[in-house]
Parts: sequence; C-alpha cells; structure tokens
Amino acid sequence: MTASAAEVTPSLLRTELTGWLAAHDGAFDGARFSAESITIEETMATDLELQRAMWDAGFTRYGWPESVGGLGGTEVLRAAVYEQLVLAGYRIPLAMLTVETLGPAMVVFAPELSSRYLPACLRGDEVWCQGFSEPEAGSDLASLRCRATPQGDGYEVSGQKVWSSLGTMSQRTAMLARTGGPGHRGLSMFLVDLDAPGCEVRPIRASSGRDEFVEIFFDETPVGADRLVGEEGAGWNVAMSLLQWERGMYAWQRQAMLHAHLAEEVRSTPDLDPGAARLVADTWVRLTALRSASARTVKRLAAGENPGPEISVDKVLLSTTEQAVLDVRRRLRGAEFALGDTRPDELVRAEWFYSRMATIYGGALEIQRSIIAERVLGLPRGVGR
Amino acid sequence: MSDAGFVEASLRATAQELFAGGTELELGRLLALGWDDLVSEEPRTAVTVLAEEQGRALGSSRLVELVMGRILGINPKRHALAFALGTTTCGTEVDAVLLADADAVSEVIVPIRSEGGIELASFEAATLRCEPVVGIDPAAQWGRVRGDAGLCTTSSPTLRWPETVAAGSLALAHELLGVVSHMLDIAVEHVKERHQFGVAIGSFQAVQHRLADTFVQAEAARAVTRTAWAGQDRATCTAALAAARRAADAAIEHCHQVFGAMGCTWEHPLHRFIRRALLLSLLLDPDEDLRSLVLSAVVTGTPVEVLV
Repeated sequence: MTASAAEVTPSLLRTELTGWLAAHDGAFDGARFSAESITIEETMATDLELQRAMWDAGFTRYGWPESVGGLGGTEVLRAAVYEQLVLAGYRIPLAMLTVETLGPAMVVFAPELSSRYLPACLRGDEVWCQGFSEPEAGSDLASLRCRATPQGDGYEVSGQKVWSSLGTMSQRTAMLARTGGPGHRGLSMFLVDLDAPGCEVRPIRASSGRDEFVEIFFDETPVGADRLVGEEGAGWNVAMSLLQWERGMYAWQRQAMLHAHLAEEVRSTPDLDPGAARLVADTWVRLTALRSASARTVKRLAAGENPGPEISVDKVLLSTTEQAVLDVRRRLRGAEFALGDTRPDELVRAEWFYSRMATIYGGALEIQRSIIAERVLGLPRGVGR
Repeated sequence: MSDAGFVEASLRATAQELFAGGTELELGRLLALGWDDLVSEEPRTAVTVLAEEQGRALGSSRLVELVMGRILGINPKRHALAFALGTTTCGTEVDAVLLADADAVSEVIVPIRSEGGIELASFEAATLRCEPVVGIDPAAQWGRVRGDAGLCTTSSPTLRWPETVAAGSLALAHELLGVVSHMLDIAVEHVKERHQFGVAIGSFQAVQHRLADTFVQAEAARAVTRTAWAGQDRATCTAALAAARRAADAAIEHCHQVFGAMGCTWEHPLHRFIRRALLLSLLLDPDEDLRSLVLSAVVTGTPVEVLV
C-alpha cells in the first residue's frame, strides 16, 4: 500500500491491512497472538519478520515523516495499524513497542541522526532499547550518575544502566548521561551502539523467567558528538517528550493487546460462572476507559498538543488495567495457572509476572499519583518522596 | 470560541443558575428551556451539561427519564416512565421509582419483562400506591409506585428498549460524575487548607494518592462516556454507567476519609453528596446487562472507532 498519506484515513488503513493479512494467511503464523513463543528471543524473531513485511508493504510507514523513510500523515494512522493488527489476530511486533517509546522524540530532537538510523529501526532491521534507569536512580531518575565526558570531538561514557527492556536483542540504546552538574539540567541523551568499545550488556532474568531486560556497563565508551539526541544538557526535556509517547502511543498499543488477552481467555474458558463473568465485565469496562483515554491522548499528540501532567492519568489506567487483565487470566485458568505446564499456562504465567512491572516501569504508580495530586489537582508539594 | 463551545458554555451557565442551591428543576421549566430542540440538535451537549450540573448541585429533575422517554415517544406531561426496582413480570408486584412527584402525572409507564423482551405497561396513576420517597435522600424528591402488575395491560415488546436504556445509562453516568466531581472539588479544597503537624494534609502522600485515585476513576468514566457518545452502543453506554458508579464508590471512600471527623457531621455537606450518589446507583443497574453484553463484545465485537 503506497497511497499518499493525504488520501489515507484510519478506516482505509484498517480495511487494507485486514485484506493484506488475509491475502498472506499462513505467512506469519508465528506472529499470531495465540502462537507466542515461550522465549522472548523466538518471539522477537517471528515478530521482526512481520514487522519487515508490514514496512515493505507500506502499512507501518504511514504516520512517520519521509525523512525517516515514512509516507507521511499523522501518528493516528500508526495507531490504527497497531490496533487493526491485533484485531486481525496478530501481536504488535515487540520492537514496534520500543520504536514508539523512542522514535517520535528522535524525529523531533535529532532529525539528522533519525534520517540516518531510524529507518532501519522502523523496518525491524535493528532493535533499540532505552538506557535510563541506574542502580541508584530509579524513580529519582534525575539523580543518575552515568557520565559522558568531552573527549576529542566527542564524548566518553562511563557508568551503568539497568532495566533496559529487550536489551539482549538490541543493537543501540538511547541513553541518558550526565554532561553537566547535578539535577535534571545536567543531563544529555545519546544514541550509543551496544557493540562499541567498553560497552558490555548483561541479561537479567526477570521473574517471568524470560530475559526481559539487561544491565549495560560503559567503560570509557567513545560516543561521537553527532550521537547527541537534542542539545547537550537537554536530555531531561528529550526524556520527558519521549515519556509522553510512552504514556500515549505505547498505552494505545498495550490496550489493543490487553483486549486480545481478555478475549483469548474468555474464548478458552467454556463455562464462565457468574462471578467470573462479572470480573470479565468489570475488566472490559476498565479497558474501555483505557482505550478511550489513550485514543484522545494519541490524537492530541498527533495534533502537536502537549497533554501536560494529565497524561499521568493514562499511565495509571494502563498499569492498573494491565494488572487487572492478567489477574482475570490467572483467575479464569484456575488451578492450571499454578499447576499446568502447557504453553498457554506458561505464557499466561509469564505475562502475569510481566504485568507486575507495569506499575513500576516508566515512572512508578506512586510517582504518577503524586504528579496527578500536585500538578493536576494542585495539592501542596509533598515533603517525602 | 466555537459555536459548539458557545452553546455549551451558555447552557452550563443557565444550568448552574437553574440548579443553584440544589433546587428542583420542574418539568415546565425544563421544557421552557427549549429542551426538545436542544436535545434533538445538540444531544451530547444538552445531556452532558444538564446532567453534570444537576449532579454537581444536587438538583433534581426528570432529565434522565426525559432522555429515555423521548426515544419511547412518551409525553412527559401526561406519562411518567418508572424505573423498576429488580425485575418486574406480569403477575408480580410492581415496585418502581419515579423521578417526579406521582401527583403530577396521570399515567405511569412501567417496563415489564416478558419472554420477548421488555414491554411497557401503562397504569392509571390512581390504580397504584404512590408515595414520595424519603429514604436516604429526600432532597431528590423521587416517588415510589407499588401495585399489582397482574392488572397490567402490555402491548408487545418495545424494540427501542435497548437503545432507551443505553441513552438513560449514559445520562445517568453524567449525573453521577457531576456528584463525584463536586465531592472531589470540596475534598481538594479541604486538604489544601486543613493543617496538621504544621503542614497542609494535602502534602501527605497517603492523602494525595486517595484523591489522585478518585480523579483517575472519574477521568476513566469520562473517557468511557466519550466512546459511548461516539458509538451510542448498548455495551459502551452501560460501561459508562458502570465506570461512573466505580468512580462514585472511590469518591465516597476516599473523600470521606480525607475530611476526617468534620465529614462525619450533619452540618458538613459531604453526606448529602454521598446520599445522592447512593440513591442514583439504584437506577438502571448495569451489572446483569453488562455481563451478557460484554461477553459477546469481548469475543466478537468490533470496537467503536475512536481515532477519528
């Protein structure tokens, strides 16, 4: 599909994508929602095939500017493609989730860098990960200590990052390092190659049993000045802009997947007792709220509006609803959730453990609630945080 | 300001005036406001603004009933649509509430469940026992009708009942959200001003998070109403009411706690909002419907388009 973006609407994209997937029935069976592999590496491999095919067919190029290989149009087109993919029975490719948490800010803050490297990431030839948290800087991100020191024409990075999702399969990381004094004004963001000298990636096995994330060590790793995302010292602003997309489009992507989780569990439960049916209904109401809220946020972001601190509402809805959906799956599976060793049992267990992270990553639930209390409701600033 | 924005702002100002002090908005005044034109031209603005302002001011009117009655072609000057408590079938006892004084109408229409769906049975008001509701919230000025449904003469199932319940649920969701938003407003003001240990209690994270959660629940319900207006489908409208009830539950729990002992007094306005929220939660109970609606929506439904 290569129609000009001006002629393309969300509903046209939905129809075309559905037709294309039907015409390629059987070609991407490994990427079907119900066919997810136990290991994240296998899932990534099948996902990347679908990601490349969708890019080559044009579907995922809408909503990205031509400068990064896109076909133009607003981000709402991307949102339509993601949801329709799930409605057609497929997963949103794993790497497209991280693309949405890095790509939009890259395009805005580092146009040249984006033209050079982002197309490969969008097509699925490369995978990127975030490099934000550190052992001593989690919720208090602005206290991070990984340092980028000027060296020759560029910088030298030393320090440690942790909890970088998909890091075992990534080639680059968009990371925050300290280039100036303490606090958020002293931070800069860089796109760093994970095979650069002095850079070491170590997987961390998550409670799900999967290697969900990594820690990254930098020891005098050389990084060119052309790898700066935004100006030196603007790292915090870039990160905040990036977080808006994580709370907007990523939430939209997840709601689509969570609807599929709920549907899958209901389909595989032959007889729902009234209590279980009520639980499903309650959870669907919460999912409807999440979908509705993130649709509005995506539309606002696409229109160039700044949603402001209220976007934390979306993040709270996403993280708590994600847990609610996986709790329903746990409940409906009954004893098999704990005893079963079939692939669905294992997958639901892994996803359930993964969902426990939802209220922690990207700004813990407590941080979001404090933002809402202080910056939306206008309550006095708290002392202990 | 856009035309739609202007209509909304002026309607809101009018509604605030009408409901000032939580008074009853009589049917005549509501109709004189141009209700019929308003609701046919700007249904979303009319229902959203009037219902929310009514909730916020603890006003009372037949608004939700009118929204439903309009779809059923009921003339509100002669007929009042009753809200059945539980399921009424022919041959059982009618027990229903009216959003109005039963004296004002000559006939009461009661939804009766039959095998084919919901039938509307019409009763001469005089044949039913009609009395004002005192209960938890006399200020709502509801009525209660009871009588023998065996006397009912039903026609045939009304095909428009699902649509009617959907519209009523959505209007009711907005009224509940009005109640919730006022509770949250006064709670926020309180925790900013009330000092303990030398600081405003609103600076304590435990207090902040209760009110943040209440706000999140209210915003979640508001979000569902947006999709409900876009789709006007039964499942999402029912979900909007379920979400608003959830927000009301959160507001009751959290606002009550942050007001401390003051919120436990008769003098403090809080209990009047709690009373109204609990009363409104009786109408159009979404639970049973939602279960069956959702199971089909979850498995086979096409979601309402919200990206345009």
